[in-house]
Amino acid sequence: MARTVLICDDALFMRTMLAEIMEQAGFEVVGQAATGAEAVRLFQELKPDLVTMDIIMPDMGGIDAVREIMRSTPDANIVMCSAMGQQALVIEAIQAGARDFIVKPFQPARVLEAVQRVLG
Amino acid sequence: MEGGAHGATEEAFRAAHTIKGLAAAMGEDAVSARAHALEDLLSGALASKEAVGGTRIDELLEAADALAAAIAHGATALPPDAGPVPAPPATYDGGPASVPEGTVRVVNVRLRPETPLRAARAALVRSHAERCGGVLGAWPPPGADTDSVVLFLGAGADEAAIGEAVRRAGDILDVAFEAVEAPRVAPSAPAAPAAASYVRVDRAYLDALAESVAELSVLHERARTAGPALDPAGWQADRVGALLAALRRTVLDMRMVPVGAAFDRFNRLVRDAARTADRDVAFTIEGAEIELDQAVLDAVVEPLVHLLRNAVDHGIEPREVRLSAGKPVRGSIRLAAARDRQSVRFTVEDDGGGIHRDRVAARARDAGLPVPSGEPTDDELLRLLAQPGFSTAAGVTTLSGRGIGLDVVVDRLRRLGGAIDLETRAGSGTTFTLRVPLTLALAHALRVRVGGEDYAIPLTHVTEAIALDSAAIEKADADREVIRVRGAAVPLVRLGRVLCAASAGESAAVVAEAGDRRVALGVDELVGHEQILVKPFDAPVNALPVFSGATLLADGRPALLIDPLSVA
Repeated sequence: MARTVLICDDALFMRTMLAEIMEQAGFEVVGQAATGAEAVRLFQELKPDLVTMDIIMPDMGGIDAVREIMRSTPDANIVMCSAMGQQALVIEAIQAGARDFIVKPFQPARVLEAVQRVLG
Repeated sequence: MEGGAHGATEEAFRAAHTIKGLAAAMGEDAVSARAHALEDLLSGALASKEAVGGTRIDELLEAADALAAAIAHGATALPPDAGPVPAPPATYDGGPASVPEGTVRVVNVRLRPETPLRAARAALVRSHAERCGGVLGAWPPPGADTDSVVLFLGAGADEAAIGEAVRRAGDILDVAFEAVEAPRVAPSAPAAPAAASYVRVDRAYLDALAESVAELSVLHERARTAGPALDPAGWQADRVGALLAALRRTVLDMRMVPVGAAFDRFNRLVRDAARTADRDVAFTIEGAEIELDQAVLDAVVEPLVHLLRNAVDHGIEPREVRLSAGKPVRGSIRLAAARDRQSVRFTVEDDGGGIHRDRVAARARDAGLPVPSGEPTDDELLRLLAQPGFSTAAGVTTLSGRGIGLDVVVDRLRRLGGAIDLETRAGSGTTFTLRVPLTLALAHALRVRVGGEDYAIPLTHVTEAIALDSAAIEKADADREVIRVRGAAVPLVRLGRVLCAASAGESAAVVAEAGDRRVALGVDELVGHEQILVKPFDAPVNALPVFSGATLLADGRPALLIDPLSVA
């Protein structure tokens, strides 16, 4: 059975691009969230194998969403999506429990490497 | 100190006293003796409770010079340096104050050299390892920029699991385990001294660094424009570009110094010149905190010295002349620095008699120089005064007030890619304005094409580049054209004509501005914006003044630099 992915990003363009990369690699994109709150809600509902989480989102940011998810599911696999200038936020997210991160602009190979590492 | 402050005298006294004591302690007898002499003079001044002035100051300055000379001599007599300071060891020993108690294994994890967001990757290494348990500590702390992470493992740690978890953090170059012998109380003893905030670096290293960065930038530009053949994803070029930008900023920042560092000596210079010329002068400095590339500052000091000396010698009138003109006896000279876009502006302003336009014109005519009819404008005046033939003409300085050395000043400025302006007001003074680029190492330039050849125009004075519509060109008179730029009429100079090149028809204009001089330079084509490395340029004697230097373009071809203001 294909592994399931929840994609969280407030930019439709980013979600679409990530979804394409994931689907081409054989994942099943079960949901897409545009806010942190939506990410938490969809995670509880769908229990995906993997979450990609943007850092800056309206209505609860990515880091708070990670904290919220980790509270109920400490073994959740969350990969942060970061721009070059957001290093300090990425570190905060890692300390909150994120398992890996990918750096924009996304290169499909790097994205899949990170996903493989996390799902091992 | 002149004119008064008791506090300043006291401060100088204490400083001399300290130097005397230290020098004596180190066996530097010559220094100590001179400091003692200076101290004596200052204590006399303190005892008299009167404002220090006139000849007293001269004595003090002499004593201070003698002391400075003795110190300089002492410094050169020292044995040569024992070589560079050794780099700190690459292991964790220089890092944490101590290895956590109970550590039995140390894991050294190195990240791949090109790892993006490597501090975050290092944090991930740590977090992955900590999830396995048995990790007692790590170095460096989270958030520190690093290319390696050291983990300290206790007896209960599962090494295989930790090794596996760490490799899963991604971008790992290698992982090395190292046993710690018995009770390792690592460098708990004197903690490594805190890193100094300042490092003395030989200027030559800095120059070399700046040059390699600049050349790398040009190479990067070349790789970038070479396109997908070399770098299919464009990723390498992006990455190299980002690294370069950071490196370049650092190097250029390192080269920036406050102009005040060079201004300090001007107080003394103006004072000495005023004494020699028997003038009363109040000298003020503004903008000492403005920062400028050390190399540019070094190059601009001599022109400023010329202008300040001239202001004292020939600008400020003798006392009786000032009195009879109803001006304050004491003349004033002001040196100001200010940041202006990508350049720094220096102003040397005096409230003297101004330059006698008619006398300069007459003298120039006598010297056989072409002189415009009527009274010369400020710009024409500057051009006349900057003629090498003019400055050597006998009697000019005493008559007109200016001349000596101005050709040197103008030439210096041109080599720097700077500009100079003159404004003189009969009876009330003269202002010279110098503009120099912030840095020499690397300049932004517009690449333009004229008659099939490419030229670079440094952006130092460029305000905009606009499309040129031949219908919008107006005739100012028989042989002068203007265009409207944001409503204002700006003289248009067709670069092709200046260069005697066969222009293919101007399609764009580059607008440049310095002070109230503006010019629009008509070019066949705007090719683009590039970073260029300006190479020193020894122009042939009869070269067109429009060329200010040479450079290598991104595609590796050499090109001449155009100084737009030279045709303004």
